[in-house]
Amino acid sequence: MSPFWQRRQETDLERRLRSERPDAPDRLVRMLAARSRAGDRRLAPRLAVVAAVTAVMLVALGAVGTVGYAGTAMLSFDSSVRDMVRLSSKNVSKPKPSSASRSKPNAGKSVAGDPAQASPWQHQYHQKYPICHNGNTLYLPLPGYTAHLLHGDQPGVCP
Amino acid sequence: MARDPLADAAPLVRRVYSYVAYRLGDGPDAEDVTSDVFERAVRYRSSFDGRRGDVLPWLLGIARRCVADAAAARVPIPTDDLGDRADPSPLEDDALRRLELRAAVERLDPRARELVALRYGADLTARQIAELLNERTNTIEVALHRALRRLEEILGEPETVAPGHVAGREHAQPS
Repeated sequence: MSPFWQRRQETDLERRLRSERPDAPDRLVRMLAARSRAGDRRLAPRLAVVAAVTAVMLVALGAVGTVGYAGTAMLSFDSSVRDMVRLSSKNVSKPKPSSASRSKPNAGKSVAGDPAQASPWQHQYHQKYPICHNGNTLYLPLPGYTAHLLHGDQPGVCP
Repeated sequence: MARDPLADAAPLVRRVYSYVAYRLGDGPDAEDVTSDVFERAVRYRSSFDGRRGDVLPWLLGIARRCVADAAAARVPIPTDDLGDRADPSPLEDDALRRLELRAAVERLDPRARELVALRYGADLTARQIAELLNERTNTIEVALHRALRRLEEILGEPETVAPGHVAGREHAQPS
């Protein structure tokens, strides 16, 4: 608002320029107002669709991923059980966990004594097991450990 | 969340249309350009920043570009002999006065016409016009004063202007 000392009366010409200015047809005003609102509304469904698709994909992929992980763990478990059964049938004594085998460091890898007690997680992350090979204690992952057992090596640390 | 600049579009459509019609003349061309302005505004509504100014100057910035595009693409229609073919039926005095005023505005030079359109078509203040055109407010006021003088001459009617007043100094009048 202008201060009172700056206010003035409009001239006739100025009044005329305002009062006789071209006015938009009502149909144009209605159409453009509606289009402006429609343009605004269009955004909400788009966001909703994006959110819904994202949620569905998350749920679907999450479920499949979880099942896949569990399936891998079950396969690993099944493989270990088969190995143990095969070893038992050859009268190979099971490796017994000992405090020495658990506590022996091995290049930063975790070490467990008995593969039969190991979890699928331990198999997946290359848990190493002690085995006595030609008088030397080796720490091997499950496949190597099993192969050495089948060749007659003794499980656990060397005496 | 930012305020929607086109939430209440109807009064904005009227202002923009008046500006465009003062620049290009009343009719289908002005309607097309106004539609184009709002189409662009809807498309770029997210780029509007309310902290940098009002909605109307933002729309008029778009409108100025649209008018320039339309004027560049326009084919001039010869009007020399239209008087002979004019509809002889009597027109209302009011309609005649409007036609006379618009014809006078069309005879202004482009700069004066632009200022008149912004000031009296879109109801911007001299300050808002200065911001839009990136000029000083005083420059706009003086230019508007000259444009009104020129318009008076064209219309051929004596216009009484209060001594010391400068056109466009007060704020926008309600339409």
